[in-house]
Amino acid sequence: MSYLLTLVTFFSIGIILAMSLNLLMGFTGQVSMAHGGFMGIGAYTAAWFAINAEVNMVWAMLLAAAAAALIGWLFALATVRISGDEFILASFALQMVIIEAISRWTDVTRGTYGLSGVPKPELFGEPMRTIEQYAVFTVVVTLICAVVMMRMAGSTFGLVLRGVRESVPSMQALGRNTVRVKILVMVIASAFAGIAGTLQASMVTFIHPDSFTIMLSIIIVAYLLVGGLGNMWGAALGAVLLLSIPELIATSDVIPSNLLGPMERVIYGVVLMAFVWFRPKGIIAERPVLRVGRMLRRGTVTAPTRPGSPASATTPDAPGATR
Amino acid sequence: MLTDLLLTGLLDGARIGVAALGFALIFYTTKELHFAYGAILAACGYLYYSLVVDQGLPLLLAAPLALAFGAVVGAVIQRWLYRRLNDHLAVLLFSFGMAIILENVLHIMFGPTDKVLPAGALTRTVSVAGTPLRVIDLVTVAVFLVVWAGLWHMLERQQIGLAIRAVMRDSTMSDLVGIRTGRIKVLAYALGSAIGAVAGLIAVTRSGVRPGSGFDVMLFAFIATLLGAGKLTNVAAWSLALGLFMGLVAWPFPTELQTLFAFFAMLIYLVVRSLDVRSLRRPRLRRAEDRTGVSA
Repeated sequence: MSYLLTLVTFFSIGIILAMSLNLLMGFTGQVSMAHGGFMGIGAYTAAWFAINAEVNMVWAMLLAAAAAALIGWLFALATVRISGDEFILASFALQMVIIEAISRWTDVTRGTYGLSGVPKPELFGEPMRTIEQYAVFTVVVTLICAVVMMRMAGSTFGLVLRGVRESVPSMQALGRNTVRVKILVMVIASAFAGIAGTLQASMVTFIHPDSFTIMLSIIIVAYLLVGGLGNMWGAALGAVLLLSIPELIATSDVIPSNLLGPMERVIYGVVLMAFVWFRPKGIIAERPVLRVGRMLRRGTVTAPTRPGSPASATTPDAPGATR
Repeated sequence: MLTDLLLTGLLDGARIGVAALGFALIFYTTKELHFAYGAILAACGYLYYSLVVDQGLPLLLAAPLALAFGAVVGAVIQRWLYRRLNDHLAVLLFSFGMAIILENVLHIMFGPTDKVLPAGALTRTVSVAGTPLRVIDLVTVAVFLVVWAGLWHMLERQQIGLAIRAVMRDSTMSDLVGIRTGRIKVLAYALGSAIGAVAGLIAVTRSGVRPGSGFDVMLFAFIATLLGAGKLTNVAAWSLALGLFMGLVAWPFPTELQTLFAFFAMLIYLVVRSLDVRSLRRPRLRRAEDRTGVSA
């Protein structure tokens, strides 16, 4: 039972990571190789405050989200004029900088020794002791995050994000501030990555720079490729599927335990390659936005208020089509 | 102290340079980020090690075999895999997948620890003008210069080099004027991967290879390629500069910070380049051009 709950916790963390990267990569088209780094910033911030200042992990989570968002904001500001392949390179460099900074800033992060004894959150004045309590907590946090992100994806904001992906000039012509949108989505995605990092830190109670390397960033990208870029349900499905792989090979007993790690990564590599090759859109492909009229009536999408500007919401009528 | 660091930096730069020239040749010709480059480099190092240690081949016979292996793998990857994907992002992710697989297969086959080639004569230390230097480092510098000069000769003085430079400049246009761009790209991959294999052989002889060391070598090759901005001569120069920069960083700061500084420099470079400083500096000239209707 506790094994199952542990799995549920890790799945939840993976879902937050996949969905938040999806906003950035699937919707806005900004391929980021630094998502694992942002998760690391969150994990370390929360762990530091919880250990050194005895901050409750619930509040530490908000601090972590803020710290990750701050770095995301600075990065987005600096890379406003970078897009496409260059953005991948820049985010790659950022990932390396973050992980090197965490490994070398030994006064705060204890470097390669890692930080141990990260506490579980306290709710209603009681610290959580059992895995049951923590699993419920994680699932609730994940549900909140998922609902927020899915609302974003289905709102005007989500449509604007897709519009930025398809064509920045046409979004600008429709009167949207594309620079602000790009910065905002980076901040949001990093904040959620920070939350995921906090949940992870509390779960495993020990954090180490090696947990947040470029490997993790690539694996999060792989979640999206497997599940479906630009589709929130797909992102969640991809995370769950890929996270089950190590569990399946661990229970199969065929592979000697010292080779489990490498074997697991080989399978990740094979899955990544297979999906790029055979089904680049993922299991659940992105759905075209066909029902803007209904969205308008329901109020999830608002028509532009500025007089004289055309209905911006109808622009990306088939986002998947041009890719 | 300072001269020592500069010398070390220069030697590091030469080592980065060999790997960077191969990576840059591939990247500039095809514009594809071939992340499996590092893993193939390490695989060639391992192959060389196993040919020499397990099969008992002499060093000079095993080296061409390892290089040929690298070249063939590179060519096959371009011809039968990347050409069909035909998309930069797809190639990037696909090559990441290959890199992960190859790295971990090496881990499973050879274990996680360093494999160092027992090459007695090459690892000896000799004294050059009072400074103790390892033979392998001297060899590395020589190899670096030979690769640099060879590539320069090929690109600037030969027919095939002209074709390669044309593809680097504009692949579609080259196709239209009758250059067989597909073959040029395969050639770039074969040659680039062989140069990468050289870097792998140097690594296994000098300090040994781990499954992950290919990736580490590639990271710096990657930075030098980016800084080189399209010219292989620049890549070689930037590699040396990068080595010196890291040597200098090691003077006031602990050596562990080298990687941090190198990637921070890369990030700053990308950001500064995106700002397009030159266009900000000459607003007057631009306005004059706008008035006359002549575009720059």
